[in-house]
Amino acid sequence: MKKTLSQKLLDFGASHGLTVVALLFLMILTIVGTIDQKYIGLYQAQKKYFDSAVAHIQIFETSTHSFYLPVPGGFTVMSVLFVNLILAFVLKFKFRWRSFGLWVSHLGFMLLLVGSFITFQYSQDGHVSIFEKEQASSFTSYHDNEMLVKSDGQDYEDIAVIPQSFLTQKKLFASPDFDIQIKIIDYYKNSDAKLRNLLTPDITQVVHLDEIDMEIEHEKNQQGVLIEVLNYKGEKVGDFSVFLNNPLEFNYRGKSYTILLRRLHMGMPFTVRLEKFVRETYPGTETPKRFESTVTVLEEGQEREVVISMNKPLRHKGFTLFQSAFATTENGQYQSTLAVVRNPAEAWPYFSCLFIFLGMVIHFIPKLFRFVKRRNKENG
Amino acid sequence: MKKSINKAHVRLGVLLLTVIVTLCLIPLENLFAEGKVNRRVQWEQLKTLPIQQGGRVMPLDSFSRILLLQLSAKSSLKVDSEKLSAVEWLAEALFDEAKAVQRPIFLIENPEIMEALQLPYKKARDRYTYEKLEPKINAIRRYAATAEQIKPEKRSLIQNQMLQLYNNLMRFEALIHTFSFWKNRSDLRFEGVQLNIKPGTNLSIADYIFLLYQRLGQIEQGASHERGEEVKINQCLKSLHETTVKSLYNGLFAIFHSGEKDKHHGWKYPWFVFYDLISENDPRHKQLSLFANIYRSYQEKNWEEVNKNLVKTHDTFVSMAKEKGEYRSIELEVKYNKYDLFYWSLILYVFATVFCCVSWLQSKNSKFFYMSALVCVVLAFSGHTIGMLLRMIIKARPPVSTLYESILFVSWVGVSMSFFLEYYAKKSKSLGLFVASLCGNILLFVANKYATEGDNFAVLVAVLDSNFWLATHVTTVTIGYSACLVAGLLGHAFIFLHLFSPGVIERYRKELTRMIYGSLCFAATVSFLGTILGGIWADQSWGRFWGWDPKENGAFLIVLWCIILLHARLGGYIREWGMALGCVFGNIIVAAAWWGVNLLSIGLHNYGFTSGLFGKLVIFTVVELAVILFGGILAYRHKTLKKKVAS
Repeated sequence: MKKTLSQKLLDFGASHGLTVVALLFLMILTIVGTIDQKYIGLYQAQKKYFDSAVAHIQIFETSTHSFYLPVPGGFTVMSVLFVNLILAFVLKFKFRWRSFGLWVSHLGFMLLLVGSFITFQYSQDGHVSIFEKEQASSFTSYHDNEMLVKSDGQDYEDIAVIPQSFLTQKKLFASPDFDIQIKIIDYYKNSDAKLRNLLTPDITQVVHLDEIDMEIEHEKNQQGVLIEVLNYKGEKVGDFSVFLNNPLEFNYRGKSYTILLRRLHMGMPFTVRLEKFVRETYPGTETPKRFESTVTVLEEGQEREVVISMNKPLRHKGFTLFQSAFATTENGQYQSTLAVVRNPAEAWPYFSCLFIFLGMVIHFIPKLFRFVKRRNKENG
Repeated sequence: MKKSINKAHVRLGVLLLTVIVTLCLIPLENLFAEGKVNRRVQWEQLKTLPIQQGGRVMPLDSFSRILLLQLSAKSSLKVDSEKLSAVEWLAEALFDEAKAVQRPIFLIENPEIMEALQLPYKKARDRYTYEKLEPKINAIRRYAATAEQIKPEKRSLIQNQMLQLYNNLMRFEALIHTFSFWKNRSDLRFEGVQLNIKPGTNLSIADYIFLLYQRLGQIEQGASHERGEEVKINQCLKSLHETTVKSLYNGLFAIFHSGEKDKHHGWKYPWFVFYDLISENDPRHKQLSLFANIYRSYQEKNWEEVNKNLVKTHDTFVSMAKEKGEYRSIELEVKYNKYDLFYWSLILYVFATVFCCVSWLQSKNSKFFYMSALVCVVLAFSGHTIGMLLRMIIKARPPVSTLYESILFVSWVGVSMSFFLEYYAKKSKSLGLFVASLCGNILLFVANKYATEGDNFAVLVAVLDSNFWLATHVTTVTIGYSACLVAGLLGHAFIFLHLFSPGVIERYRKELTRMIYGSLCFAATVSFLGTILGGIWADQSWGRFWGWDPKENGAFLIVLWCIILLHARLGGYIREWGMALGCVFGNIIVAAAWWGVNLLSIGLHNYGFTSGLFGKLVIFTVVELAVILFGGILAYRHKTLKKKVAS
């Protein structure tokens, strides 16, 4: 009996061969993605190899050209594995008690993939850096930016926030609240700005903005945007350069405008206040022994004190706050940095990995017993 | 005829065993000898003296070993056929500078260094005295300063060694200056101050300070009214302080403690205490005077008095440490140092390997050699186990918290696993034992090399300081390494088995394949568990389960490779040969995950960074690839042979 093409395709999709090939690709990605971290840093390597649909692996480089081999990226490989697994479940797996362990662990693996997709898509992370006795109710992204547009009239104020995707896609920002439109000309992932020391307080201007190579530590990259400001009729008002954390201010027709590129701010449903930061080192050395932030959580008029230390985070309302870093000022005041994570699929890896592990144990233990038994039988 | 061969074997075996037993007894004999050698001063008393260095309280014995290892790559010193233990050498440096500078302790591996310094040399890898190197110290400093400006990964071998030599010289200088405020010096002269000193006598800094303050007192009491002299005296005190300030901040180890709860937990370096005591009446005065007594009686060459003072000092400091609860594992650590269990385990493992090989060369009567190998492995394994238990008790930590310990533990687990395989194997006896001995001797050899690189009891940085996660995640991950390595070793065995006659191959092959498969399943499960436990730790500490950090990726690669092999086998893409060769490749992955990622010098798991590793890893990888290639050729030959037989 001859198989039709679609049957053949389905068989291929459910085959062990596809599994092995996909896993091999994942292995290659992991190796290359690990080594490349030395050169482009963890964040960029993650974007380039593991979060991507297609990864371009550099094969060799001459003085003028680089030659790349495109391979499926982490996203593609994991999607293929997911489809492969579903097809195998539908077409090949037959339930027997003997293969119960396999069922469990492969179901666990599917859960793991779904969970990581949710994390990839919906989780937020950033940090709160506060001095002692200071408080915060929002956290700042390490990597993503947003652009703030503000106009001050005589007795009112308008604010708009432009998300990063808007900037990278170089779109045109227009809103009925504003008399101006902003056209994004270019978005630099890392830039170097020459700033003018200003004598007149109402105008800030970046003299010159250059795109430069990216840093290995992604947090150190300072983005810059070239914009063209138009009036509501679409007539050009002027070209400007906006540099990270340097507000651009100008006046147009009696209104003052501020445009600020800054790290993305995300809100928390509660406020934290740093009461005390403690840092302890091993005697006679600079080797850190313990970091600890005592914070007060404020919400709806209620207060409670929590100690956050290394390996002991604060979990509250789906947000998790970890002790991440600290800094000291010249007068010895501590600033504590707490990493903030919000991940709707936080618990998924726990369950899925437990399934996978239990499945493996259920599957392999009887085999071990068979090995031991066989020996006893033949000896006795 | 047959009987005579038997007897010959027995004799050979007995001979070998005697050799082992005597070799094992040598250190014991040496240990007794250390006490017997007629030495006028019993420095050994100081072995259990608790001191504080590198963030932990340790016996002086450990400190002296670590220091001597750093300087000379040996933990004892040979002087005219007499052995000087590390603590004796250290004590000599503290109290007898003149002798200490004549000890050849500075290891210079490369004669090019001597050439650059324009010093005569006899051979490569030789040890030199401080006296010999001292005139060139400025040149060494210049070379070291140039080297320091270059990034570590770009330094040449010579630059690294020059830098190391300079650091070692500085350490030694700091060591001999530990109590140098009591040393009589001829370079101190004070003009314009009336001190009651006979011309020509040399006094120590301590004496001068005492006299200067005495004189100051006299002036203040109005015995004489020379204001000018008072200013002079203060200038002298200031300049004395300036000339010695280097020693003040270069202290190598802290002995004294004040009982205060400050940044150093009350532990103080000798020079600090010395300066503190000038102005204050301090409980540490008594502590310092104990050492002063030793120093004085040593200078007077009153050996009996020195020994008496040593006992008194030791007992006082020990009882103080006991009061503070810091003496808990000091004696145990000294014992641990003394027995050097891993070294002897290593030697026994090597013998076990040899016996296993010999037992195979015999056609039938190999029982004796097999038993000898078994005894060796069991003895070695016991030593290995006790050594690890001692470490755990001393550190109050799970078995693995440093790279050095991970080697010990991987080796230990490998040996246990092989024992298990040996016990349950029916046809392929002695194969498990062979793998066990290999796991033992290869890895302990690596560990032995590693032990010389500094304090392997070092404290842990905050992020790793969690006994729970160290016990679960780190332990399981390292067990996973072991399982993979055992599978890889069995893979090697499978390949080399095919060099023997078809009969031998038939006898072992099937069971060996099962063992490989079993080890691989175990490796996959445990590595997976270890990896997810790491994920959970990361989630608890940094808020993300997985971040593609190099060390995480390393563990992940091992899991991936095991899973790939298992699925490829299930799909029928690989069989016996494929599994064996795949497991050998697994060894390369383990090496990369365990050591290779450290070369990247990035990521959160920044412990155990090490240099000069790249070359060794490349060699290892090339050798393993060659084995795989060789196995591939063998597999091909055997397939064609089988086809021929079939047709």
